[in-house]
Amino acid sequence: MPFGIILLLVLAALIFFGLLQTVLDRMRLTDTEALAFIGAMIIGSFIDIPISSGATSITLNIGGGLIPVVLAIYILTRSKTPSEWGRAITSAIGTGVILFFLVKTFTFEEGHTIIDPQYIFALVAASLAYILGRSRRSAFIGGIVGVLLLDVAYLIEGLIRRSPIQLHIGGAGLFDAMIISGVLAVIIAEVVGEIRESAQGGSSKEEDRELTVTISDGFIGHDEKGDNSE
Amino acid sequence: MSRKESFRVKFILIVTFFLILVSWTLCVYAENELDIDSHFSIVDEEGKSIFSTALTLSIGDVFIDEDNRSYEVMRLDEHTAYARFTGIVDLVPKESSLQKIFSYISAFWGRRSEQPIVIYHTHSDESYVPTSGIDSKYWGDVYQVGKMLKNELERQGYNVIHALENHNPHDGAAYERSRRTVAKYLKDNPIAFIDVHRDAVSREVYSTVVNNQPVTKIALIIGRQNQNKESNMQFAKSLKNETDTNHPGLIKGILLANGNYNQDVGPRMILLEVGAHTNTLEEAERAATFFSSIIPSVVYGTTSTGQRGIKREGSNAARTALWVIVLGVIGVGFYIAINSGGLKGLISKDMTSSLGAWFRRRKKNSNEKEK
Repeated sequence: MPFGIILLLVLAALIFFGLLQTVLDRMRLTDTEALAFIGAMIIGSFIDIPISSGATSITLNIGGGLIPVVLAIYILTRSKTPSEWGRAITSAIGTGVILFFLVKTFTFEEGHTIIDPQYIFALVAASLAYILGRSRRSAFIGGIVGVLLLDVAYLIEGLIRRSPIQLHIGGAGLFDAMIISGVLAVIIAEVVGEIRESAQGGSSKEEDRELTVTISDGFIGHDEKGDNSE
Repeated sequence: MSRKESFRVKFILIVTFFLILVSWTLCVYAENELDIDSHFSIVDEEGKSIFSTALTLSIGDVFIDEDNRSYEVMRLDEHTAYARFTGIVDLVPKESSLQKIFSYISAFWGRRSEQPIVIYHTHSDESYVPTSGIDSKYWGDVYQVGKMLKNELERQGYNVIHALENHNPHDGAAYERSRRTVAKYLKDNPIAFIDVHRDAVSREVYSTVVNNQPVTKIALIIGRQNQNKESNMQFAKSLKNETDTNHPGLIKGILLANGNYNQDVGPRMILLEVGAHTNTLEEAERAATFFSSIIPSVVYGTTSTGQRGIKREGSNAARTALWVIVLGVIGVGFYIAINSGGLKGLISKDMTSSLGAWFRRRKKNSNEKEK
């Protein structure tokens, strides 16, 4: 069974049993919303939308491309403060730029690889999002948008070089690099975050101030621990 | 820490992170360029040279050579890999009774001879210099090698899909693009995927003579960063076993290397290095012809050794599935334990995190039912 499918099935089961409540709260999603998105990804991965054909052939897979991007935008719109928006967008664009740089300098040749590219995509998204704002939301958005930006760069490169283009955005459906890097990025940020924050014994003063801002904006903190990690 | 100071710390962290990434990728890039025409030598514990390859090795990589001698890389020093001899590998060993149970379970799904074999090319540009004059072009010579495999398998009466998708440019995202091709043909319920490449090393490394004809050797590559490693490894071993019996000397060896090469997608995914850029296309095509004659035996089990390999593959797949479940449960348990502040938090009734929400919900539901 492909890695992406295992990942989504395990997530669906965990969400169903309420074991991912904390993460979902940080993503500002309800369990019903999360399950609906996973369901849409599964069904949508069987549907491709042709955007253009001929020498520049572009298709968009609903489950592997459209739904993850919609979910990333949906999560972004739930950001409450301008700084949160800024951090998420910066880390998403930053992830895209770093990924482009990585794939152009490192060909991940057989036997020349330290770690597979699809895991590196997630690592970059998670690291950048975590450094910028200890944010699980930004990690997810960065993982999805970073891979999308790689596709955009591939399209631009093809147009500039006037070479034939075969672009299938999210074309691998459930096990496309887009979904895997988005979901893995959240897992990495969450596990690293939890270990670091529990070792630290709570959050720092500055982040407490941000929580006050969030609460005054009408959003009540996601948990009763006083930990405001995003 | 003031907001300004915190911003400064984050800024420095990001710049450092970026610089590390840049210098690391530049180092690796430089190394790749260097390796294009140089060899990586493997020596054993006594310093005796075992073989040389263009493939760069990492610590932990396993190489099974032509004589089925298995070596594990323990230490690296520039272009020398110091490997430990771990024993002679039995390519298709007999099953234990536990494995027999697993193979009966996996046999339940069965396989049919009309299921297609998919041939594709992640590195679409790879070509052979003596034939084409260049080592890289938009529709590389590897497509001709793939076509030869397809024609020969079809001649034997099997169903083959030769994916003509192009995954250029030859950069780090090529495997992500070919992953989409793999996903596309997965809908045709294929029995196996073959990703045909060529290596980049001097001519003599892959040159050989089989049945009195000059051909290139074929290296079988398995990625070790995925859950299907065991099944794919058994698939590679069975392929080598059949080839060694029918065309001795054709298989250069099996490399279990870092990476995934999209082999997480299924249990019969193989990457072939058919010769190097310094060999001719004709030699590579001849190698493909010989190799195609043994594929059905391993993929569809048309011979008794092929059958045995299939059973072993099945038991490996079932064992992997069991491991994935066990590791998944351990991972989730570990996560919940951290999330709820250790074991104490995990069993505390008024805990606020993950498992707590579930218990609270169950309690609430049972209270409502009582009312």
